[in-house]
Amino acid sequence: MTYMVEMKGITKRFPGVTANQDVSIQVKKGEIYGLIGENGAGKTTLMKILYGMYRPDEGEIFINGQKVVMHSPKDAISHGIGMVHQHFTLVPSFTVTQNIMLGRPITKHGLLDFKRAEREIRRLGETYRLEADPHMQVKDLPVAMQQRVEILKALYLGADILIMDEPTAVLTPQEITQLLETFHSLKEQGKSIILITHKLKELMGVTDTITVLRNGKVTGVLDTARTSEKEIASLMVGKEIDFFVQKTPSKPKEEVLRCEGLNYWNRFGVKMLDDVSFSIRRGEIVGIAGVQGNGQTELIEALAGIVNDYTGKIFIGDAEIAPESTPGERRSSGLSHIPEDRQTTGAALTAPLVDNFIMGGTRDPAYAGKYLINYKKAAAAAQEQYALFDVKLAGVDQPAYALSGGNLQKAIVAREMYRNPEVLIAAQPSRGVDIGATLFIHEKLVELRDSGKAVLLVSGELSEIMSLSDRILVMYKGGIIGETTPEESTEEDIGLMMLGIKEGGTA
Amino acid sequence: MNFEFRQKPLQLRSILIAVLTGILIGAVIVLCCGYDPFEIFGALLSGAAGSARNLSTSLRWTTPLLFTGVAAALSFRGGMFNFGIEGQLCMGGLASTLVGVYGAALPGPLLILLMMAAGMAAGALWAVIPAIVRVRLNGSEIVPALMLNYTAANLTEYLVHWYFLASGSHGDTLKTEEIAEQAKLAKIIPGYQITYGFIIGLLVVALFWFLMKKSRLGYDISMSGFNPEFAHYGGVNVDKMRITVMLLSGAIAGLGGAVEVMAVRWRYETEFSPAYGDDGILAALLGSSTPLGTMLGAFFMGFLKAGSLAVERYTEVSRAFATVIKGTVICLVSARMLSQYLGVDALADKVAGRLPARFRKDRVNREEGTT
Repeated sequence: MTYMVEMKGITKRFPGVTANQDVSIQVKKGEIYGLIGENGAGKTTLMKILYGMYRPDEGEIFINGQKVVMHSPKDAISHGIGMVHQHFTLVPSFTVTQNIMLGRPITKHGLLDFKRAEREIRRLGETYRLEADPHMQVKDLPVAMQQRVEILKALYLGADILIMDEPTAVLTPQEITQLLETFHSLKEQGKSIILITHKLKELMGVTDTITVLRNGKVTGVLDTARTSEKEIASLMVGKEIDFFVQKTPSKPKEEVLRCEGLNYWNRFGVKMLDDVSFSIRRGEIVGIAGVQGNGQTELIEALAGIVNDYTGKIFIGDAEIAPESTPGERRSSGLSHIPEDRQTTGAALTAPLVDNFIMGGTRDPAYAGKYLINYKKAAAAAQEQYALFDVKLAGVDQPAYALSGGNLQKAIVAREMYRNPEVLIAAQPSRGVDIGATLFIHEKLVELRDSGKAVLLVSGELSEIMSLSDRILVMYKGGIIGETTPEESTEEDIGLMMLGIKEGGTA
Repeated sequence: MNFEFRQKPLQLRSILIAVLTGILIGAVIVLCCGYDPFEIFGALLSGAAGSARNLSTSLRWTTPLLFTGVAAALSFRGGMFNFGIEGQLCMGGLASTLVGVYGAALPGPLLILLMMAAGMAAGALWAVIPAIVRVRLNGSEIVPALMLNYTAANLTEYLVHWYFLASGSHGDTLKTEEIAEQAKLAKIIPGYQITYGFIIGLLVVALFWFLMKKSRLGYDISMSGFNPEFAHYGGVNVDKMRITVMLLSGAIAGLGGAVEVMAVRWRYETEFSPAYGDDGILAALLGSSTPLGTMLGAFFMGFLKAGSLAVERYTEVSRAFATVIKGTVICLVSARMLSQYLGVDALADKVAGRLPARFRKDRVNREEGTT
C-alpha cells in the first residue's frame, strides 16, 4: 500500500553528533501518528527534515508514494505538509484573517480580498470544527485559540499532513481534551497528524501508531491499542522508571517569604496582579497552578525584582524588600530563581558555561574577591556542581548552547542551588525536559525542601504541581482564587479553578 | 525556542578567508585597471615591512589603532556600539593639546599625565552623551554617536580657528601652537618614527585583557553584552554597565587622541584623524573584540595603511586602492557565512574528521538545544 508519508532510512549528522540514524516512519492517510522520545532523541530534527528545514545526509522521503526532495518549508507546504511549532509564529497585532492569509494572500485587482479570505476561514472552521472569529486580533486571543489559528493557517495553505510539536504544553486539561477532539475530526476528514509529545497519557488517548526514538534511533514502533505507558517509557529511557518523585509529608517551620497586597499593571496598563498575598514556610513546597497568562509570570518577576514598578510588600525572612531593590540585592537576601525561559533569561547561550555558572554569584568567596574573579577556581566549582547534577557536558569552557534543553535546565537548577538559597522560585522547572531529567530535578527540589528551605513552584504542568506541592495556590486573572492541597483536590477540580469556574479552599 | 538564525560567532577561519578574499578582489581590480598586481602588492608589502624604517612607520600607524581598536572592542563586548570613537579621539586630542600648550611651565612627567587625563576626560564626556540617550531616553546609541563625530570635527575646528590658532598662521592651515617640548614622547629608537606611545598602546591592550579575563567589572560588562536579560536576572545593573562601558570606551579613544598629539603631531590640526575611529572599529571586528584579536587587527590595519602610502609613492596606483581592500574586507567579515559558502567549512570538517580523535576539539551539536 502507499503511505501518506514515508521516510526511509533517514540519517542526519551534525558535527560530532548523529541526530537521526537510519530512521524510518510510515504514516497512513487519516492516521494520528505519535512520535515520542527524550530531549535530544531526534524527534524535532526528523520533523524539520520532513518540513524541509534540514536536508538529510542519507535516506528518502515519499509523499503519497512519490519520491520528493525538499529544499525549504515552501517545498514541504506545496507537498501538503504543515507544521505547528511549539512557539507560535503569529503576528500579535494582526487579525486572525491577516495572520492566516499572510502565507498565501488572496487578491482581487492586485489588492487583498479580505472578504473571500474570511469566507475561506469560516468554511475551514466549519469543516474541521475549528471556529475562530476572523476579525479578532491575535493578541486578544487566549493561547488555545492562537493554537487553533496556527492549525487553520496550515490547513489554509493546503496541509494534508499536520506536524504538531508539543501542542499541549501550554493548555489546561479542558483545552487539551478539546484539542484532542479536533484531532479526531481532522482525522475523520482524511488528514494525517504527526504528534510530537512528552506526555504519555495523551499519546495513549489519541494516537493510532507510536514510534519511540532514543539517541536518534528508532527503539520501537507500537500499535497504540496493544501497548502500555510503561512499555513506551522503558523504550524511551532504556530502563524501567518510576513516574513520580517519592517524598515524605512536609514539616513546615517558620515563615520565610511573604507578600502582601501585590498589585502590578503591565506596560499596556492591564492589571496583571490583583491584590496577591500569601506566605511560604521553611520546609514546604508551595505550587502555583494556573493557565499561562494569569499573572504567574508577573508574580515571579515582582518577587525576583525583575520588575520594580509593582505596589505591595514583600518580606524575605524578617526583612522587608523594597520594590526598587534590584535582583542582585534580593539574591543576597537568600532568594534564588529558576526562570521560566531558560534560553532568554536563564542563560547567555553564546557565553561559556563557566560564565553562566558565575552569574548571581560574582561575590562568592569560593572563587571571587572584591574586584577579581578567579576563573580557574570558578571552573572547578562549576565542574563539581554540574557533575553533582548530572549535567552532561564536554567542558565548562563550552558555550551554553552546546547543551541540550534538558541538560541546560539541569545546569540552571545546579547554579541556583549552588547559591544555597533560603527561598527558591522554580518557574516551569521541567518545561521541555524529558522524563529522566524531570524526575531528577524534582528530587533535587524535594531535597532542598527537606533541608529546611522553601520552594515556590510555578508550573503550567498540573501533574507536576500535584506530585511536588505540599500546598497549592490557584491563580486566575491575576489573583489567587483558591488554596488547596494535592490530597484535597483532584486534577479536574483544580483545572476548573484554573478556568475560574470553581472557587476553592480559603481564597 | 529556535535559535537557528542567531549569528554565528566569528571564527578565525572566516576572518582569514575574508582577508584573503578581500586581497584577491583587490588584485582583480588592479588587474582590470591594467596594472600588475604583483608589482602593486610587492610595493604594498615592502612599504609595510620591507625595511626597519618601513616597519617603524607601520607601527606608527598602528599605535592610534590600538587605542581606537580597544575602545571599539570594549564597547562591543558590553553590548554597546560606540561608533563615535572618531569624535571622542578628536575631543581628546584637542583637550590634551590645550593642556600641553598652556601647561608649559609644568615638569614633563606631570604634564604628560595631565594631558592624558584631559584627553580621557574629554573623550569620556563625548561618549557619555550617546550612552545617556540609550539608557535614559530609550533610544539607539549608534545614531547620536555617529552624528557627534561631525560635531566634534567641526567644533574642534571652530575652537581652533577662533580661540587657539597658532600665531603666525593666518587661516591658511588651522592648527594650534605646539605643545611644550617636555611633553613630547621620545622615540624608542632615534631616527625611527616609533615612539613610546606604542608602548602605552600595548599597555592599554594588556589592561583590556586583564579587565575582561580577571575582573568582576569585566564579567558584568561582558554578560550585559552577551544577554542583558540574563545579566539583569542575575543581579547585574545593566544600565550602569552600559554607561560605564561607554565612559571607558570614550576615555580610551580620548587617550588615543592625547598620545597621537604627544607622539606625532605635537599640536591639534584639521584632519587630525584619518579615520582612526573607523579603522579601530574594523580592527575590533577583525579580532572578534578579543584583546589579542583586536591587537592583531590593529596591526593589520596599520600595516595596510603604511603599505598603501608606499603604493601611492612608488607606483601609479592611488592609495584609495587600500581603501578598496579595506572596504571589501569589512563586507566579507560581516558575511560570517562566507567560508561556509566557499566550501571551506566542509573541507575543514573533512580534514578534522580524518585527524585522530585526540587532536579534535569536541564539537557538540548545537541543534540539540532547539527542541
